[in-house]
Amino acid sequence: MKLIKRIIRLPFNILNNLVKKTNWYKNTIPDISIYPGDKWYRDNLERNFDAVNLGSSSALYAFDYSSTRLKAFNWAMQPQSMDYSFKVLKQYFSILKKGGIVIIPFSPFSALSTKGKWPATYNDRYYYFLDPVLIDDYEQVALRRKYPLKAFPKASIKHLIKDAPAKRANISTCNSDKEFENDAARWITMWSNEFNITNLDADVSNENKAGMQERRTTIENMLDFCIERDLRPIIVIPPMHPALSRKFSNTFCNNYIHRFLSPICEKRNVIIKDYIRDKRFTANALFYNSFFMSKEGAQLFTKTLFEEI
Amino acid sequence: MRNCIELNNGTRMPLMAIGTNWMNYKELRPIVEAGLKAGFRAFDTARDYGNEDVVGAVIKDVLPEFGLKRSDIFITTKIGNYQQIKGEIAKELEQSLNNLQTEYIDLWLMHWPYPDYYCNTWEKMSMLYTETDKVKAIGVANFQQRHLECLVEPSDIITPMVNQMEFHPLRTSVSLTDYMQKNNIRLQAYAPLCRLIPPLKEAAILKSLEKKYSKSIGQIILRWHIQKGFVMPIFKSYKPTRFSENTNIFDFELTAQEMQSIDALDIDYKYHLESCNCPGY
Repeated sequence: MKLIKRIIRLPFNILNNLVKKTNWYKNTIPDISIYPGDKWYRDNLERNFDAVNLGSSSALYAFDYSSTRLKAFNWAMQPQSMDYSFKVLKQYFSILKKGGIVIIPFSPFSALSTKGKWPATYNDRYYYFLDPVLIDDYEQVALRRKYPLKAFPKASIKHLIKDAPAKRANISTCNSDKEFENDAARWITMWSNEFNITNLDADVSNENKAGMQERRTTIENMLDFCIERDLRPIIVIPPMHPALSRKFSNTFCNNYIHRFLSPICEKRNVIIKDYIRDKRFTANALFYNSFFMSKEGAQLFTKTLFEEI
Repeated sequence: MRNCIELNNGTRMPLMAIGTNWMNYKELRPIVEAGLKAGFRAFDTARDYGNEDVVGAVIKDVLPEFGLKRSDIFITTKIGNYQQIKGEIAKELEQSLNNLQTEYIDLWLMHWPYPDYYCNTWEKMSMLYTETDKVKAIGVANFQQRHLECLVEPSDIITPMVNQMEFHPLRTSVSLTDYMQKNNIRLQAYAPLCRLIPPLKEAAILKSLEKKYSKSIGQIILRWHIQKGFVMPIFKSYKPTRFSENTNIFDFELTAQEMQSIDALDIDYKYHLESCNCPGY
């Protein structure tokens, strides 16, 4: 009986394995070499790291430790929710030394919840390096990664016929002031739509206030988690190109950033480093686009940050 | 092998144990035979090693060869994270007893302080310890002081008898071990040689002691463990010859100054990264 079942399943398994060889499937697999899991720590003897940063897209491009002497990991992902940043920290924090620094990056809309706003398939990346208990709806995630042909029959066949291009960095690059201005406008439009904001200087909407409450809990839990484990959390708002930082008035920054962060951080003696309008980071060469720093920018910023904290 | 350490409930536990993790029957049998021949009487396994049944089978097959009975040996096993989540701790104990083909476990440990579960697991383990004869002693593994405090401070809760943790000259965890001694919790050390990684193998003090006592660096380090008086190393090797070598550490004594010099190698180095095995640890 088992043999018959296996014979019946054979064509499915062959096709499913072929789907797993497509770029479309493999593009979801992250670079797991930056997570000190079981294999990493057996292959690498380095321990007691100085720092890690969490975060989403802008953090991914804002931190580059190669110009420092720090033992550090950049655990930002494009994109990554605050909840999943916390989960990554929960799983890998033991690589840090006592007093090791945990950078929690914050961007203009980080106080707002992204819950339910992103496709569930974004979590498929974590299949490769997070413990199943940390992954929401793990059974579905596992199904999609083990049996893509079953989970996405149409897309699987489509990509077997014509594959997607291999993954590359998802960044637009700007080469002139005008391009930076256009890019900044594009970001603002995207965020305004995502969070249903019509006027950046208006009070925070009730809907976003609810999201803020949820986000506050996450950040408080992250900070308390670090402090309880003798780690040093720091909230860092990375630089952005002046074309973008100009879009955020003092009113906006107060409503969406400082009034949100200050009480949480003051209570716990956690420092906030805000580089949004820092004059040292304004040159076009320091940015790929209005929100993402270039390698040169990231190296300069990371070095500067660690000299100042 | 000589000597035992007395746990806080009076149970006597052998000073050194053989680690069996991940070994299959073919690998483990010669290890157990060599260990018994060298005088080892304690064996360490865990549900999460996936080989409790192998340990049970090897022990059952090998003990008669040495004219030994079950009561002559000491078996430790551990309850894993997944079993903690499932919550049926009594059933898990039965499963371990069946796997190990034994009527009792000498030392039953909670493998990790699994967040949100470990206090409840401890209560259930304590109840089984108190109300049955199926476990002779209970303890924990990989617990930090903040985890132990949850179990030690309420007066109506049983204090763990053992905390099994990574302990070696590069990681002496002074404040944790002080706390454990204060509360009469014995330390069972895993990775006692820290795989003899370069900072240990090349340490000047260990090299000089190797020469002075005509012992290997491994023997010097094991002697350091034993001489502390509250530490019981677990030793794992795939080479049967290592077991007689590692029991040959009772014919010399390190001076107080030498003990301190080895202590000074501490750099809080963890070979095993705890949070990888226990997220949120």
